[in-house]
Amino acid sequence: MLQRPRPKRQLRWWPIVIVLVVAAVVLLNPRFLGAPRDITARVTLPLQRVLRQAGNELRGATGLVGDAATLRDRNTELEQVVAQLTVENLRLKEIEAENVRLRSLLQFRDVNPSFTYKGGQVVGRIVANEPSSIVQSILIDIGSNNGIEPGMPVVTELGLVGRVTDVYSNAARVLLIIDSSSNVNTMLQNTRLRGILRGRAGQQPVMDYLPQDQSILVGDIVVTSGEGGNFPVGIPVGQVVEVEQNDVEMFQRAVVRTTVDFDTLETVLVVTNFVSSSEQFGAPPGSQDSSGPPATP
Amino acid sequence: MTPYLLVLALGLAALLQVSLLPTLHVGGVYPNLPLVVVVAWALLRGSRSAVIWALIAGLWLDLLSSRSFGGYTLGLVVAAYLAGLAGQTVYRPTIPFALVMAAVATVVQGAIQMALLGLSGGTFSPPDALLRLVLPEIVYNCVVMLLVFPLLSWVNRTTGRERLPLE
Repeated sequence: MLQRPRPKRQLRWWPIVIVLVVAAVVLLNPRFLGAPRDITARVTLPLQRVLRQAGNELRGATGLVGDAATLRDRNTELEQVVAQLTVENLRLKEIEAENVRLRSLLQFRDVNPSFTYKGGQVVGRIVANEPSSIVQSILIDIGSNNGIEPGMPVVTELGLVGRVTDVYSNAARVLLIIDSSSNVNTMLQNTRLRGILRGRAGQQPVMDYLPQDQSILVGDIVVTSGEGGNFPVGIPVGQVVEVEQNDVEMFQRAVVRTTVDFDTLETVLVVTNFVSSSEQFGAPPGSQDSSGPPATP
Repeated sequence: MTPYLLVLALGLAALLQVSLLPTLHVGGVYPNLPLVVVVAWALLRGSRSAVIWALIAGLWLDLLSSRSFGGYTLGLVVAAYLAGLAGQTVYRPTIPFALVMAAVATVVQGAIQMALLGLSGGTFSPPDALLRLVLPEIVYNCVVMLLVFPLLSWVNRTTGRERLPLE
């Protein structure tokens, strides 16, 4: 009697592949991958630059069809903001003129000038993002050959973008402030109230650890506080759009709309004349600033 | 298809994923081309071939990313294997079936990415991330699948080995 042949069992090896990959995830620290990623960046950067340029042109040509509705709402909001800022600008010009007069009268000398972008910036073009939109980091086309070092702050003329985490010879990776692993020490510009800006996947970032007894208003400006030594003081970060307060919690928090529009970002400035204290003392590059509650002002 | 050509082709898909596709985002979300390619291939050729594709594409993505090595490879390998198993349940995969599998694979891949993000200390709300990132990506991936599946069906035919039932 003929016995029906048993079907061959296949794919016994695939669990081994998954176990190996899981082991790689757990065991391989990104720091050990510097050399392979450096080589990959060096080899692929020209093509990435071309593809990115093509993508930017394609997006421009299609007229941002997908964002039409968002843009209409955004335009209305911006018109209101422009009106407010025009009034504010006039007031500030008056103050500036007065400041110039007073400084000349007092022969004021700025012995230890506050941070300035001039003289310490390198412009980088964004050539790539993370493969998944859940993670928010960018690759720029300048690296150690251009004097870029881990820990350097990255900004645009509008405000804070993030911080350099990995540097290759011709490229650098920047962790954006909207990434869910990003923590930045910030403060409210008018009340000097300190908090930590935390990125959230798929949502606007929040400024956390704000004391319950303090008043926070929608529209308050958020700037870097300089605590932790990773960012200079006073770089604009965003504006409070919502305050989340719960009486049973120890802190309140504010949802922040960033000044930088990360969806349309094409070029950034790397601030090369600012030395991050955490890099000096060898803190892990992934954590942008401290993760605990800030000192009360 | 020679192995070298396969590695280069999947490398190109990975480069498109990090360089070109993010510029075509809608609401901050962009499609996952390597995932769609791997799922389509799994439906056409089965798990064995697709897991190899997933491994190559995943390694490319991990080299082009900043996170712990293997995260993207893991997501693609699991998605390829599941898609291959699902592909065995139908005589001949159709485009509607491929769209369903693209949606399932996007959820699986998203869940793995979020789990890894959570393990590495990332702060996020899973329901919000699902609603704002994964669901829009499903729509986008389905659109890409409409282009990729016919193309890979043609590649499958021209490379000569039509998949047999229950192979």
